[in-house]
Amino acid sequence: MLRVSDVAFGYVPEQTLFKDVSFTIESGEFLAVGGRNGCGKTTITRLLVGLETPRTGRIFYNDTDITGWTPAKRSQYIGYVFQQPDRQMFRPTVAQEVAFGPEQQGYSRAEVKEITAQALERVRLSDKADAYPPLLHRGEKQRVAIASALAMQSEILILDEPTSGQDGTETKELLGLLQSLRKDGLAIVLITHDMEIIASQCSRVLVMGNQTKAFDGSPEELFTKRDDLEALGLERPACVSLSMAVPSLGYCASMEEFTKRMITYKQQGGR
Amino acid sequence: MERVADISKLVYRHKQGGQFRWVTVSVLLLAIGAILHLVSPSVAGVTPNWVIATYCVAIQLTRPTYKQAVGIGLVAALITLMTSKSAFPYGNLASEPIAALFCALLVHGQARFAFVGEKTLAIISGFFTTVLSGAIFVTLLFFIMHLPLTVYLFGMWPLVLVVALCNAVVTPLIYMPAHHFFEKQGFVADRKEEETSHANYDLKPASQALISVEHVTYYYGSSKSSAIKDVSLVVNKGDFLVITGPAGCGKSTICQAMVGAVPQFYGGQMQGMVFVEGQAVTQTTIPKLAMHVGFVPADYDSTLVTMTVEEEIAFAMENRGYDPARITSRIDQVLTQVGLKGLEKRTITGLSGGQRQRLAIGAVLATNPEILVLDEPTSSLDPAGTSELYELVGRLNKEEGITLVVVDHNLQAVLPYANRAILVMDGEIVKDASMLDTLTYMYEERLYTDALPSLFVGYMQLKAAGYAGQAPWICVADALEDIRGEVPTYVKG
Ligand SMILES: Nc1ncnc2c1ncn2[C@@H]1O[C@H](COP(=O)(O)OP(=O)(O)OP(=O)(O)O)[C@@H](O)[C@H]1O
Ligand SMILES: [Mg+2]
Repeated sequence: MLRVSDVAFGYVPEQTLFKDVSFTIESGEFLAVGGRNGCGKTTITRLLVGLETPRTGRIFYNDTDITGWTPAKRSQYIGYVFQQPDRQMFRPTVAQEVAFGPEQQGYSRAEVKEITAQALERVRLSDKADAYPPLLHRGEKQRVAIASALAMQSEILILDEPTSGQDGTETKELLGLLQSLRKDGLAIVLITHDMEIIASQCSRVLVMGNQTKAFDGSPEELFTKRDDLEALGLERPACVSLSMAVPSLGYCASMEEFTKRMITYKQQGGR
Repeated sequence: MERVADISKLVYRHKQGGQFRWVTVSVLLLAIGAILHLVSPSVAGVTPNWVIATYCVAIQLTRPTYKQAVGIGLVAALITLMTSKSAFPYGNLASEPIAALFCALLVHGQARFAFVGEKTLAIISGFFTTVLSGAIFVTLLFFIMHLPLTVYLFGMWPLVLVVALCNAVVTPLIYMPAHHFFEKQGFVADRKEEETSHANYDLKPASQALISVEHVTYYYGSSKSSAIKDVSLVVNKGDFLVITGPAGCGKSTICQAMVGAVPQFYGGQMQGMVFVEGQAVTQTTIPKLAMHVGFVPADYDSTLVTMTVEEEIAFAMENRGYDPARITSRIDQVLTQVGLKGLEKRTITGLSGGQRQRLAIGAVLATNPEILVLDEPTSSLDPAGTSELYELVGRLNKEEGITLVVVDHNLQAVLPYANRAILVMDGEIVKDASMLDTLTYMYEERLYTDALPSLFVGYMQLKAAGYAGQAPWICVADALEDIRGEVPTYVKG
């Protein structure tokens, strides 16, 4: 669906942040983007939404070259949730904020209302439709940003560290919402430093490092096959370390899975 | 010096920060007044005096000091001066400041007449302020332009009164929506709010601990519900204390109280008292407290003030009076510690999120505070950065006796270093014990279990099933050790 081809980028002419970066994003994927602080995760997503322009290389959406498109034009396909969602809200109520996209796309008033209501329903914010966005909690602001993307019928939703600074319960709720959106066919791109989330939630991981794409594959492959995790600023999640110590359990993507299998394994005599 | 028998009853009220809010509000309103002044049609030669009406509203909303009110009047005078059609507009320079001062007198006087509501006050101040301003203006005009007495008495005075009547109508009409708007932004001063001073109290902590929080209940700004309720805790020298609890439970408020930002910066009402090294926080200032306590707030971006990375560290040190000769070498040391070496000259806007968080931490570490209060210091850090940070502060804690208070959602990362953990729910402390005891309590009572480290939960479940050793798993190595004993097929991971 979205294809990045041989992209290179740098903020200042004398430095290259990364080069030779190619990957694709397909619908229904839950793609994690990981890597050390400053490796270019935020930058790569800014390139996808058109907030930065690649030095070389192209970006395609369903084989249409969108490299030269403005962020506004791309926003019909790609939704973006900033790390500080406040910075992307301008209108006096939640409903108006979400309605902004469809209004720009030229829908009639009645249609806009319908679309907005559906999007808010989808993120369970219907009761906050008339609230003033700056007064919402951070988790709610994120959901407003997600609803805005849904109202635009975006097919890709990018979130920059949405779970940082969130408590365990908020994180769980957000992940539940993202999983259900993904089931509806959206592609989710999640920048995160949380290894347990990568292991338990994501279908694929893209790691930025060494000034290029350092890894692109399944979380299982990343956490069990790579021996340069530390150099890439990553860490093997505890559940994977433990399951590797007991090979007959197989790969465990979460601690829950590990304890369940471990208990069964023990009950069956531990062999 | 007055002694305080029961510290839990001691109240401290403070106006919410934003000492320049009156400027923002009055400039906005005056701009609106100026526009209305230019566009409003006149009926039989009469229009309301919009500028006076808007500064009356501004003064009523912000309740400025008398000096500030005169300032507002002067700005209003300049606006009218520049847009005036009068033959002698300079009279405004006298009439508006005096009338604004009078308006402030009315507003402050309202406290004595509780039955006067906000709307009535707007009507009264709209009318009398306009009369006074008009009177001064036309009287000056009368003397300076040598006008006939009849014109003064029967031409000008009636006009002043009619305009004042118009203003008595429009002032409340502007006041209501303006009040609604600025209240939403938290810009409105509460008429009942008065400042408390503790200067005359003899305040002594009940405990000799480094930080002693005693029966603190706190209401932010004009909030009706308390953010924390009767919170008492001590932080001893050398403690590594973790505060945990669900979002909005009051963790950050407790941190802010330890650095004096609550109540001195956020305003509002505090009951009880926080003592830092024996000093009551209401009897000192935030900068003085900062000499002992280094603080990284959850919103770390707000602490970064300079242009470049090295300036940020230097600035923090200069503020604490460090010798310039030491600063250069210390910058080097600190940037290495937080993994920002090589980025000295980088502008702060050119840093990634995690790099900015590293810098905010570095700036605090640079000044070697005896107490470090870190509110979610690893929210944007990569796993390596997180473990490096806790290794570093864990070492400072062990080797140099630095005291730590940490809020973090990632309990696994602090687990190996912390000696104590407090669980806060709904503004109250529900558990204050060793790290492992608090985790066990959370697990057994099913309290905020989403925050429990997965290794700990895994251990508890396996132990309950009879398949784990006696000691909880603090880190992966512990778990592997345990499993190795249990599993014959163990291979090194
Ligand atoms: N405006 C800029 N000028 C110069 N360099 C920049 C600018 N913005 C970012 N950088 C640098 O580009 C690199 C990549 O930044 P980016 O924000 O993409 O990192 P990131 O992977 O998202 O990191 P984090 O995990 O900390 O969020 C960083 O080293 C950063 O210092
Ligand atoms: Mg980033």
